[in-house]
Amino acid sequence: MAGATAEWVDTLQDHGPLLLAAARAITRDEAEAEDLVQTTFERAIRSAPTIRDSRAIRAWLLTVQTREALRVMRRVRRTLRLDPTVHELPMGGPETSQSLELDEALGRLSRPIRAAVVLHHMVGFSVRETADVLGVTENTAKARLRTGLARLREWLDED
Amino acid sequence: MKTELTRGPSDDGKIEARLASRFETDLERARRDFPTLRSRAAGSTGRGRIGLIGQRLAVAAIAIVIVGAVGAVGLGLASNSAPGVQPGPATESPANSGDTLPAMFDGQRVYRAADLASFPTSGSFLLGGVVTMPDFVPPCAAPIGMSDAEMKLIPYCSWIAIDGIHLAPVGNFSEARGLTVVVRVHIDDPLAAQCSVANRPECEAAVVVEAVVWRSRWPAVESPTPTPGIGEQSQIPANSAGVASPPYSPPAASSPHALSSGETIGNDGVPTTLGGEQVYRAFMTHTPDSFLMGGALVLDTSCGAASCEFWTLDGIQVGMQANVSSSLSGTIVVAQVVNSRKLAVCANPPCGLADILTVTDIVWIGPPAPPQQPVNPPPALPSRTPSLPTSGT
Repeated sequence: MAGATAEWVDTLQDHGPLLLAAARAITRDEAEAEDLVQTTFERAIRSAPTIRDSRAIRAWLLTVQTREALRVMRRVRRTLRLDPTVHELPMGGPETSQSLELDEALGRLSRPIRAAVVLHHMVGFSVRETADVLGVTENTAKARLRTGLARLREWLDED
Repeated sequence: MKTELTRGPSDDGKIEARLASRFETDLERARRDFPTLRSRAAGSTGRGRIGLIGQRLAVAAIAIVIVGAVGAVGLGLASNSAPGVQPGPATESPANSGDTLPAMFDGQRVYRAADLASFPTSGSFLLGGVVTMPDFVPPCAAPIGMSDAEMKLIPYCSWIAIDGIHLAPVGNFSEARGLTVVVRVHIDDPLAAQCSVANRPECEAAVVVEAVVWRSRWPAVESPTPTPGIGEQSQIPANSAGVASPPYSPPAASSPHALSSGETIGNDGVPTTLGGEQVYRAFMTHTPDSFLMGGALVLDTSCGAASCEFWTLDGIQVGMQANVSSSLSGTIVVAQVVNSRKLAVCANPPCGLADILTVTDIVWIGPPAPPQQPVNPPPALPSRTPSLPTSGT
């Protein structure tokens, strides 16, 4: 059991950077992202004995985290109005201005739509997987992705 | 992958490429940051709680040690306390596995947490181990989007476990912490078929308790020296729900108000009602403008200066109008709270207004929040510094 637990924690830690990057992209809040990853880990460690299929771990972790992100948003919004423009940006790259522009546009998306965009276009999930993670139908996921891309296109003035 | 989505104008491709490229950058940054976050002090609240993963690993390891350390006093047959299958009488003396748990019971093998990989996937089997439960149960909001079957099978807010294996809520397992038990369980419950695709693996692997077939004399943790072979009847009555201790039993409340006889304290030490009025919690979604709110009151001093310290109640930042000493930090309280607005502090004035809860009075003071124990998860008290509106709100 000890070995299995240590192995499971190692597996989780392998997924840590992906979870953190996705959490940051979805929440736009560094502290909330860290809390989300922690919450996901806590639940994953609790569930260690109940997950066997290693191929499903990534999808499962992101499912837990994304749903928690959408749930936490509802809770936090009740008490505090968060400023969506306050967050860390990856700076220093050659395309910083474009990165800022994209970041700002992503930040203007509603969180459910942004979550869909992040999962599909950034993490690389299929539409079906994205729908499963979000707990919505494929059609709903497609609608969110279309809306997300349309708004990004408009705001980024890509045409 | 993305060909599944109906293509929009060609510039969508550019946006997709930018998004993918952006995530590569984000991922690189996360790879750099994650080890730093992970190594932050375990047990701290608020930012950087990723460090707790190491602590949780220690939890699992300690739980395993406990299996060998705690002893069941007697070997007896207890009545079933859970609905469902009734255990048959023991027709043979249980064979000890060396750590006071019977290796065989009624002719059947008693599986342990370490046997996880070999759990039978069909039919029921016996599982033995020590019941664990946190001292302090953190608030757990109802999950969004989980089906009824998933709620019954996935131990989302259920902290009770046997040797670290969390049990499906549908089993209504409620034995007292510290008991060594043998339970009849199964996995791959038929309800799993009703779970979503994403959650089905977890549903299928959920351990569902059918019945308690044996338990040690309570409390096993106070009898570290095993006395095997006594064959004594368990001292726990058949209906364990009536005798199981709450996971955390705080001492009597201090001033300013004590609980009246009809009022109860929840599993985490916070009253559920006070003076006939509901005590709200951070995870509740609807509150009136003025209400009682319970939970741990904590002064967050992590910013390092008195000017930027702030209070949290039940994990949410609150304004403080009550005259509260910092010595109260870490105490479970019930406070009179109002929904209010305050002028935000921001980097670039003029700043806007922020909605915030403000404590106007402390109406009940409980004991200090219990210290974290290695075998239990700590309370979730995220003390986030909120990002406040910069203008125009």
